[in-house]
Order: sequence, then structure tokens, then C-alpha cells
Amino acid sequence: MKKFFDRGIFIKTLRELFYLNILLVFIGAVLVVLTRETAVHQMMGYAGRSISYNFAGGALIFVAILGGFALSATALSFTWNRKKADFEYALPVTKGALYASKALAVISSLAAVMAIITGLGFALSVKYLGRFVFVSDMLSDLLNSFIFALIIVGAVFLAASVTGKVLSAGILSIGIITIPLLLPVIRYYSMLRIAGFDDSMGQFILIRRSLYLPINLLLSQAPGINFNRYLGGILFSFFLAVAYLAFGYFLFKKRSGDLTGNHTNSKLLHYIIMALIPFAMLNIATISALDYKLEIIFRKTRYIYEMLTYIGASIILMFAYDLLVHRKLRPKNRIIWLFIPLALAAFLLNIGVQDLVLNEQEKDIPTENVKSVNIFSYDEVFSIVFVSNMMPYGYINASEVDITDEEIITELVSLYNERKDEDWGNYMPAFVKFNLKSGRSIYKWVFLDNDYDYPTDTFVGNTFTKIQQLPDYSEKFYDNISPNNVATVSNKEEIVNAKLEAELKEVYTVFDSEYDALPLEEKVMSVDMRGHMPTEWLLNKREVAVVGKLYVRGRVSGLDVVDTYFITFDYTPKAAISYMEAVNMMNFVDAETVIKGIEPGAMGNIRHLSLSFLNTEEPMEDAMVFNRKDDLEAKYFFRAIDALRENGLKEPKADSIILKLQYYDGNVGNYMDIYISVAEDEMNELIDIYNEWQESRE
Amino acid sequence: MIEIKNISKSFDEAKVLDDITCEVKQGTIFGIVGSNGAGKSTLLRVISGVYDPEAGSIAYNGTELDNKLINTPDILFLSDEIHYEPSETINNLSKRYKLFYNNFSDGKLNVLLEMFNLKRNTRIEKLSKGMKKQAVLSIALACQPEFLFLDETLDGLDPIMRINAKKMIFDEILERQMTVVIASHSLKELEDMCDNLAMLHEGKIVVQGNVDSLKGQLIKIRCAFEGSVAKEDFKDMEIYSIESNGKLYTIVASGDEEKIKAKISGMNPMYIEVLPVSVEETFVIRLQLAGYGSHMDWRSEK
Repeated sequence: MKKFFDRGIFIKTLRELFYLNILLVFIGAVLVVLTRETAVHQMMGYAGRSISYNFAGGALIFVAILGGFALSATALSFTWNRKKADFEYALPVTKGALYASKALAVISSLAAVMAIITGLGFALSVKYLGRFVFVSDMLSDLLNSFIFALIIVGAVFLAASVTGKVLSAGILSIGIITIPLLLPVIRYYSMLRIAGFDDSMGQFILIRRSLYLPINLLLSQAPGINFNRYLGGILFSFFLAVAYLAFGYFLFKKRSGDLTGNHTNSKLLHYIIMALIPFAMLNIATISALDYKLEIIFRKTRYIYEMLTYIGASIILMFAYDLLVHRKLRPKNRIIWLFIPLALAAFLLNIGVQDLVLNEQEKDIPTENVKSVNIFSYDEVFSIVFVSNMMPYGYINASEVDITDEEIITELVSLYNERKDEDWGNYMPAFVKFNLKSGRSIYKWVFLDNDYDYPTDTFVGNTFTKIQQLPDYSEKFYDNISPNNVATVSNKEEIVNAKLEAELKEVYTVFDSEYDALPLEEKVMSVDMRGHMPTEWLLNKREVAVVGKLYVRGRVSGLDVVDTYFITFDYTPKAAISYMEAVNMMNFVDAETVIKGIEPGAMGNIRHLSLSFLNTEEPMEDAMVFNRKDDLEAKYFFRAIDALRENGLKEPKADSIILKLQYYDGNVGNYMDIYISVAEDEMNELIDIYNEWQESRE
Repeated sequence: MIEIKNISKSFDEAKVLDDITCEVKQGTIFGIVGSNGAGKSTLLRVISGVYDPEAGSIAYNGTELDNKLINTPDILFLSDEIHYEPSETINNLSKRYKLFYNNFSDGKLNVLLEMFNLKRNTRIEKLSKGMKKQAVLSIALACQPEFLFLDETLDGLDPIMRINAKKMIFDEILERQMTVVIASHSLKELEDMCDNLAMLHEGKIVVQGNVDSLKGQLIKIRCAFEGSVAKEDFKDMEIYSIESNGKLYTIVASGDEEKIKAKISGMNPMYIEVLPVSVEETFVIRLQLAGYGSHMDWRSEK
């Protein structure tokens, strides 16, 4: 007789879980296949959020939740089924071994299921993206999702150790999973109460991302290769899962089989389970309420109504629980216990509303009251903004830098004060913290007008260009990789990592030899590739070059770090068509639609068009920029479009003039480049239109 | 040997087992009888480790059960409702048991199933209630546990199959000194197979002991008197019941048979006869004395 493990229980549980495992793998596989297009989209990174996503990411999270509950519930069915309890409890196996062996079987099953799904995701990633995929991404996502599943398993095992009905175990386990969500809220709240500390939302985001893994997974992207950033949350979650399982182990050893079929053997525990229903809901509600502050328009009434809905739903759930479990309503009894959720609700409302109301008081920010600003962002915003400067995620560290430059402050304040809440398609949001001279800080979205704030060649506004040039900001921005391990990192389209140098040289060599072998027009088209970093993927799949990623490895605080930088690649004419075909798969517009469909009403969100002639004697980048700002400009804009439409797509010839057409499509929120070839007279026609327009402006 | 000392168990407010103490010797069959709700199944679950007792202790061969925290003896418990998966066959179920019982014998299972005319690949849900019991009993015996606990397992079997089942159990006991504890509400099921019996009533053992000695504890005398006989005439005897039918009296008493007979003979009966007392009768009387079915006052009747 072994004290902690029994092979018989382990094998028996694995057998019981077998068909469920098959079902989970099937569900995971279907999800992986169904979401592959989104994954391609994400991986290509054109719409941001490109880091840390893989083909299996979504499926893994889903399977972690579903599998965590379903497998645990199946393995523990004897805790609410009397017939099974008679069998399992009477076996010549110690209670400790019964619990531990079942837990191990569930964990092993989950690991196997999730590994298979990861493998499938990896295979699909390779198929779609070639060697652009990193095994470390996959393993990182697998680890994160698996630890999340462990938390669920731990919570269910813990709950089943003190309850005897599936409903009670379900509610209690959800409560156990949800309780740690309160930790960041409490920490945030206590920080608010510390004299002089008023840094609210930004801290909350950071705390939220670092503390508890389920929050990261459910409310943010899966950590993926930003492993180091989430390491705190991952470790916390792991220890939490182990603690749940260990606590459940000790409680299970005291669990008598006669608990089976009863909700709990403790009245106090019963009330805890009852209180957890509204608690769990309000907890999630509070976190979502705090997230409201990230929105441009806060509607207090909407927030209050939503909270009331959550409270109402909690009360209904409590009575539904009574009806289902006790077959009767017990209003008097419940009124007492409703004080707990209502008191909690008041507490949480206080947290949420207080700050929101305070924040809302200042509709306009007086420039003279602002001492400094910090630039935050939220998810994909800055990854788009900084795409051409290859620094997508440095803002997290750079946000610590107090920017005191008066010109920048004035510009950002005016951007906020002149905000337009509608017409998202033509504005790009950025998240800014204004530090007031009074000592308080407020967080606001500022919206950058795409027509005016972004020069069309870089997409980065003058304001942000200035910000990036600040030495402190720049230093912080590149802080992810330790300077000891990275030779140089700059925002001048060149990243050299000491560890990758040899590798890159090799890539360059291959690239150069292949480049030399290119026909003239393709060579010309690739001219601005020379300035960028080619990747192996580009070399292997030149035809579908879109936006490249360069992974830079280094060490931070003794841990291996992989960070991602974006690199834009331009296309060969063939690549342009291939690319449009590729993106068409993802519901983007195809090349023909772009050319033929740009007219008032049809592609109403296309705001500007830049035309560059690349193989003229002197490449004229941004030679002609047409905007659709007003009717006058639109007139020339559409004339240019008409001229292009007549020509259509043509196979480039040796004497063709290659024209780079770049446009912003508000419908899909993306910038796109395509290349077309035009004859000289066609080019002249376009130039005439442009000149005419320029003259009319003068 | 199983030593059960001062075991108590309650569910909510109700005390289901109240200070139960008994002993089951190695290689014997111990029967637990009692009315519905007497606590038979609970007692079996407590001694097999399914339920933890509130008080008292259970020791197997001198080692305490300790709530199955460190050691568990080689127990097999068949509850009155056997758990099986919907599509499970006898063979699959036997495999499940085989995982936990090292002495499991496939050969023995084949022999036992043959005796019951059952096939390994039969789905359990297709079997009748009695056949299910035969199947699980066969598997349980094939597991060759040291201690076998059966909760109403033989109830509902037809006479021939019951004889077969009993034979199987006896063979195991003879072969390897297996200890069996069997619960039933029917004394007839157990009377002819148990070495020792205990009767439970409202969580307490009303009577327990060797089956043969239990049989001799009561004396039943049938006699006839010329005139009427008053209750007080028997006052110096330990009488449990007197039934009268005209001049014919049936008296159940305890004590020395010869002395009781001599006393009644002293009352000049027209006719006197000592009748055999079955174990069942003994238990029924004991139960009634303990208050079960107390609306019938046997002592005061007639």
C-alpha cells in the first residue's frame, strides 16, 4: 500500500477520462483550424497584437477552462455519486493516494491533450508562416495555458474535498478561482489610499498583468514570448495551483464518504458558497468597470446600470440556487446573507465610481496645470504607431519617463481637448497620463488625426517623433534587452544583436546572392529592402512578404528574454499580387477592389493615397500624396484613382515604371502597400493631376 | 480478525450507530440483521472505510483502520447498489477490480461465472437484478480479498443460485480463511450460513452471539390447562410471551428448559410440549422487546 500514489487509481482514472480527452483534442483541433485565419492575421502583425499569439493560443485557453472543469469533475464524480463513493472509498487505497492519483491522472490527461493541440497549432503555423514561428512561443503559451488549467483543477479538487454535490463544488470552485482576482483590486485600492499616491489606472494595468495569470489570459493576450513580463503572474499562478491542490489533499483526507450527496457538512461553508456567487460576479464586474476608464467616453449611468445588473443577477442566482438545491425559496434567510454581496457591491462601486467621477471632472485639461506627461498605450495602439520604427512594446518601460517638454505637453493637451469621439476610422488613439501640478494624475486617450498628424511615409506623428527623440524616453524604450547582451539597438531601422550577429551575416549573404540573381524590375522593387533586415522567412517565401518580425534575444535580470521588433518589407510586383491574395483570405480587400473600387461611397474610408515612383532615375518616395480631407482635395484624389483604375494591374515590363500605392483603409484599420506598373505616359498623367492639385492649393 | 469498538455515527441529528462493539474472527461469517434503517449498511460502510466513525475504533488484525489515512486492509465491499458504467461488461468490471486486488484470479472468475451461467462479455445493464448480484459476487470472490463485506448481496437470488453463492463463499473461507461480514434484513438468508450474528435496532446491537447459542437462549412450550390461567401464575418465570387459543397456551421464556418445564408441570397442565425455537423467532422476540413493533404488547397479551 502506498501512501501518496496508487497505480490502480491512476490507471482507472485515465481510462475514465479517455473518451473525454479524445473529445477535448477534437474540440481543440477544430478551434485551431477555425481560428487559423485570425492567427495568420495576428502573426502577420499588420493590425497589431502580433506578439505572443500562435495558432493554438485560443484553443489552449478554451481547452484549459473546459478540460480543467470537465476532467476534474469526471475524476471526482464519486464525491457526489453514492454508488461510486461506495466503490472508491472502500478500495484498499489510502485517501491521500486516492486524491493524489486522481489529480495526477487529470493533470497528465490535460498535459497530453494540450500538448497535442499545441503540436497541431505548431504544424499549422509552420504551414502558413514557415520558419517564422518560434518553438519558444508555442511552449510558452502551452505552459501558461497549462498552469491556468492547473488552477482550475486545483480549485475543483479543493471544492470537491469539502462538498458532496456537483452544483456546490462547481460554485465553490468558481469562487476559489475568482477570489484572487480581488488581489489586484485590493492592492490598487490600498495604493490609492497611500498619501500622495494617485497613480491609478496605469498601475492597475501593470498590476493586473503581473499578478494573476487568469487575468492575463482572460483579459489580455496570452503571454507568449513576453514571458519575462508575465513571469510574476505565472509563478504566482503556479504556486496558487499547487496550494489549492495541497490544501485539497489535506481536506480530502478528512473527508468522510457520507458527505457524498450532501452540499457540505458545515453551515458556515454553505454560506461561504452562497456568498461566493455574487462575489465572483461583482469581482469581474469591478475589473471591467475599472477598464472603463480606458474608454474615451465614460457614461456613468451605463456603468451604474451595469453594476446594478450584476447585483440583480447575483440575487437571482442566489434564489435560483435555492430553488434548484433546496427546492424552495428562503427569502428571510437570504436577506441576511444578501448584506454580504451588497456590502461588497458598495465597496467595489466606491472603488470604481470614485475614480471615474474624479477623472471625469476634468473634461478639458488646462495646459498650464500639467507638470509632465507619460505615454502609455493599450495593446495594439502603439504597435501600429511605432511599426515603422520597430519598437512596438517599449512603451511599457518608457511610460515611466516623465516628459516635461512644454511643446510636447501643449500638443498632447490640445490633441485631447480637440478630441473627436466619433469617426474612429480616421483617428488613432494613444493613452496618455497627464501629471498635474496639483499632484494628481489623470489618464486620457488622445486621438491623433491621421490626415494631419501622420506624415504618410512613417505613420508616426511629429509629436511622437519628438517624444522618441527624448534621450530618457529612448533609453527606457529599449530597456527590454539588457545593454550587456545587445550590441546596439536604435530606432534608425537597424537592430544588431550580438548573439544573432553571425546568424544575420549568414542571412545577409544568402539574401545578397539571391538579390543579385533577381531580374531588374524585382531588384528595383527590392531597393528599399536593403535598408531593412531580411529574415529567413522572407528568403524562403519571398512572394508573400508583408511585415517582418525580428526576434532579439538577450538576458534581463538573469532570465532569457526574447522580444520582437517589427520590420516592414516591401514587395516585388509579384509579391504585391500574392500578398493581396493572401490577405484577401483574411477578408481584406483584394488588389483589384482597391484599384477599381476606390470611389465615393464604395470605399468611403480610404482617406489618403500616396504614390511613389521607385524606378525612376531618382526614386521619388512620397512624390505625390492625395488626401480626401475635403471636397477640393477629394476631387484630385478621385481623379488620381480614376487614372489608376483605367490602367489596372499590369505585369511589369522592363521599361515599366513601378508605382507604389499606399493607402489607409479605415474599414479594416490597416495601411496597405501595393505595387502597380504604369507606362510613362500614365505616370505623366498622374503627375499632371498632382501638379494641378498643388497649384489649386496655392 | 476485525475488532469493532464503541463505534458511533450520526447523520445530521439522527444517531444511526450508537456505541457498537463486536468482534469478527478470522475465517468466519458474521451476519448483521436488522429492520430497515437499523444501521446495517452504515455499519458496513464504516468498517469498510467509506464513512468515518464519529467515535470508536476499528482494527483489522490488530491494526487500526485510522480513517484510511495510512493503511487500508485488503477489504472488498459490495454495497447493495453496485456501480457500473452504462456500457460496462462483466469483463470490464472485473478489470476495474483487478487493478486494486493483487490476488485477482481470472481462472477463479471463469469457474464462478460458469456456475452462475454468466458470460464475461455480457453487458451488466442487460442483466436482471439477481444476475447482477451473481456477477459482482463472482468478481468479488475472484479478487480473493482477506475481508469481504456484502450488503444484501444474497437477497433476491433464487434458491438454487443462493445455494451456489453460499457454496462459493464457504469454499473461499475453507480455502484461505477469508472473513465475511454480511448484512441482510432477512434472517432466513443468514441463519444457515453465519457463525455469528448481530441484530441491529435503531443503531444499537440488540443481540449478538454464536448462532447455535442464540437458538438455545429461548424456550417455547405449548401446553393446555383445564381451567383458566392468570398471568400472575407465571410470575416467577422469565416469560417473554404467552399466546392463548382456548385452553391451549404457547409460552416463550428464557432460562433452563428443565426447570421451566417442571414449573409448568406443577400447574397441572393437561398437555405439555417443548417446541423448537428458530433463530428468526429469537430475533423477532428480541426486536420486539427492544421496542420494534411495540404497538403489539406481547407480554401483556391474553
